[in-house]
Amino acid sequence: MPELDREEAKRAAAPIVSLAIAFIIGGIIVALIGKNPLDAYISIFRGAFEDWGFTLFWATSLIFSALAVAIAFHCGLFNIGANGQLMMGALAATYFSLRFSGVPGAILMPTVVFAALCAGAFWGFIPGVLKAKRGTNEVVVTIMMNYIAISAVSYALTYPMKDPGSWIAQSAPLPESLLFPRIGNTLGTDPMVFVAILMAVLSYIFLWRSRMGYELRAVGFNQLASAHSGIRVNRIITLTMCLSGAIAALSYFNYLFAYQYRAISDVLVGTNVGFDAITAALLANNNPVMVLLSSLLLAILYSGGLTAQFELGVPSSFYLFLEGIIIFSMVVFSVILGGKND
Amino acid sequence: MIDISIIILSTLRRSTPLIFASLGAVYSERSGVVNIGLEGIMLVGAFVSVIASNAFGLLPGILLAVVAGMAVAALHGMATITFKANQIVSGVAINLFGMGITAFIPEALMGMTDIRALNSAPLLAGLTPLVYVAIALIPVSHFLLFHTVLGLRLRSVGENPASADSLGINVSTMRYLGVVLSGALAALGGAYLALEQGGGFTKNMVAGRGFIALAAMIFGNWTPFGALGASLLFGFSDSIQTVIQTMGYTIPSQAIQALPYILTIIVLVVAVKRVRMPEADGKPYLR
Repeated sequence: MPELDREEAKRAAAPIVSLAIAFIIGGIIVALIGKNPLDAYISIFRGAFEDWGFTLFWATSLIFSALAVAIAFHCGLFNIGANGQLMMGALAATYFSLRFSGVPGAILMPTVVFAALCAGAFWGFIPGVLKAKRGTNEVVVTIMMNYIAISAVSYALTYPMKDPGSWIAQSAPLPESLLFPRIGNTLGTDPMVFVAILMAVLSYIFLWRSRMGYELRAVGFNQLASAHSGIRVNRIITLTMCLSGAIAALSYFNYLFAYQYRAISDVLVGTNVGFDAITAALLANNNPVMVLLSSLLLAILYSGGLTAQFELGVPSSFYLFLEGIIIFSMVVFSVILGGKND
Repeated sequence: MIDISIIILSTLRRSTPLIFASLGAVYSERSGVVNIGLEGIMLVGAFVSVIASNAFGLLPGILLAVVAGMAVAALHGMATITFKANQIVSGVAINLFGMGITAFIPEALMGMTDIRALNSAPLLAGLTPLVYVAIALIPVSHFLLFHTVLGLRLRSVGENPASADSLGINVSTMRYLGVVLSGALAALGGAYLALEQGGGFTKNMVAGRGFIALAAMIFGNWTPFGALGASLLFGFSDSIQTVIQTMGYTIPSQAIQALPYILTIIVLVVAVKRVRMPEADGKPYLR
């Protein structure tokens, strides 16, 4: 077998092997608490299928954040700030929606999207520009930005943007002109699922068919060589983080405009999507099209996990635990199998 | 009039988990391994300390929490040192694992997410013993890191593993030491939170303190005394929140909560020449 094919095969094997390992260890844990592992997994997959709307809804949010993580990763950057970026995106979207609620939806929605993209891009810009200009570790700064976003969202929805008529920290209902239609009024069939798929395809084209995508990957591969070949490395790093933040900012649009129809502080602040996104990106080997699959798989585990909790009493936190093992076996096995190590 | 001693005691209480965990981060990062899994390890420490102290008493409970923290940290070490995996990815996995397992076990076995601690620690001058342990560990760690051969070796593998290796220092062993120590200390921080502050374990009770501790370590320039100072500062800003509100000032608590993170970014930007991370921090050593 030619060397290249073997490398490819190994890289493709890592997620499958890791998933298998995670399911086995997870099954052992389920057995240890006195439940039948097979029943649990059947319940998870059947539940996710029966409640496909919720599964799709959850996958949609995850796809945006996972694409954000994957794109940054191609540039050698670790964006663990998708949580903060999606929160700021949602906050900006809510603010503009309510502030200009009288404007017709056809004009307002693009404005709202643009505002969210800008907010997310700005939340990515800060770690990006600090990395580019000062060499500051982007992991540390994105973590800090996550917590600053938590404070900002919590403040905004507790004081200035709070719905005066409600007793919890949440915004007023969003204007009706902005609400997304849903097919057959089923959750998860709002336009964002199609936007997410489109975004994945566009990301793929961007990374492998565009000049900036090429430069971005070149910087991720070797900064020094890229600089020597005339690529403006600092500019690429900053722009990549902006782009990454902007994409993540769309993660909770389905939540805002097709589910809760308002921003709820506890929901946004308590999100874990930005971290789930790391698992999804990793499982997909940072390939934007594969992100669609990995996000769907994680959404199945999450959504079906709720069913398994209801039916069998397997706690829904099983999902987090399983995710931890998936990542862990991914990193260990991709090294054992001789895959790329970064 | 506000009683100053109340603020001091409250600051010390709120700082203690941060002191433990940020000191742990100093050991890990000085040896060259970034450990963003502190949050998850603190959760495991908190959880085990409550379960074990309810079964065997306070001291055995704390010791078992430390052992559990070391075990989880060893997993991080295995992934990042032995398998040379990405340290951030592994840290994320540790956090998810810690959050998951500490929520899963009580829900699955006891049908609840909160566990009360049956034993409470004695008070010494208004503070529980672990507060004093945390503060005492700072000079000890300073001495260990900067005035002993072991400390020199640990730092050398974080600065320049290749030359340390050429001098016969076992890079892996030293890095495992740093990581496992960080696990022990983070678990102590978690145990303090659960046993001496919280009166038990509640789901996700660490609530971001692992990440604040990381910030404190950076703010403190990767040194034990620096980590102490930053932890005290963050603990202070945390404890004056209530004071400010009772005094009638309208500073939203969110602004104060964001302060440690904003300060850390500013320090990273402004004091970039003074703040310096170990040269080989975050990089796997490939021989």
